[in-house]
Amino acid sequence: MSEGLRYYLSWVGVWTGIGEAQAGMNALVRTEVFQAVSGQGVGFHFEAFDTEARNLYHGVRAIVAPAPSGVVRAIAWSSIHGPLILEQTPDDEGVLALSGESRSGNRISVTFVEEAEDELLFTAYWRPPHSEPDDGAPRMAIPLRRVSPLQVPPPGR
Amino acid sequence: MASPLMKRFGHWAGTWRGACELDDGTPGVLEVSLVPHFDGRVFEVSATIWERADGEMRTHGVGFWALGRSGRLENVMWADDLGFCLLEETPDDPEVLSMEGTLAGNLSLTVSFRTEDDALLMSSGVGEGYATGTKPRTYSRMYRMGLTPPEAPHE
Repeated sequence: MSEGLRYYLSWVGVWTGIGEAQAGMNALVRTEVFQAVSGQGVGFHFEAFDTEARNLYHGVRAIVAPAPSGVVRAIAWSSIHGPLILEQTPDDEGVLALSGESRSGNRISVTFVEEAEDELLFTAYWRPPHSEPDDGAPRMAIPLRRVSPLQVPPPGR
Repeated sequence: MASPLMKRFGHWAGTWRGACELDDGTPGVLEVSLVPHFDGRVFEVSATIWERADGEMRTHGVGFWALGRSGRLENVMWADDLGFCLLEETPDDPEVLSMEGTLAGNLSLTVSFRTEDDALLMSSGVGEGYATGTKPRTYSRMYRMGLTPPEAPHE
């Protein structure tokens, strides 16, 4: 695995959180991060639901891996945007930033920021073709915490 | 209710393995796994090739198969030796899935699958520019590993 991707192995596990979707409603997110493609990449399984987890707003399956040239990209399938190839954009350690265009020309930006141990901030934003970037536009922002296995006390305690 | 993707390819879901001949003539083993996600709206399809003589991994890749608005399959994929590519379904016989896409360096990639009896046949090849098909291709006849799903959802 490339050095640039190795860092994200520390994120392997399941993460959940509730935050705001780009359209303004509350969303419950479950994300699983896993080692992928024989250890050469990192996979993400992303699900955003209503807060009762009955309706799937958005599902994404993605794998981040290096090209033979060393450039890191992600292949993904999104239930909203369809197939995607996103480029990793340079950022600080502890940040995974990806951006690209969907087949219909929507501009998509996705970021995971490690805010503290076992805490990630997920943000995502998309805008339609030919629209200007707007830093103040609403975006999905979900604080994620690592899911810990339930600790069941031994019998008799 | 099965998704349109599951109706077409649900009976391919699972893991398949078979002998193959690599583009340089080396005997190999190819394993392909098709795993549905999101209620069958997308398949994660992974492929690995080992050299038959010593089991050394030669190459591997993964892609996401889904149907586009036109009803044709789109496969966004990565392979360790080829990089990233969007393959699109090209017209072929009904029982054949043929895909083609463009790779970096003026290369093209074509992949086709079809079933024959209880085998899944796959061939793939990389061509330069418009000369697709002029280089040796990798062929494999694969058989299902494990049990056939009890109810094949395709129609």
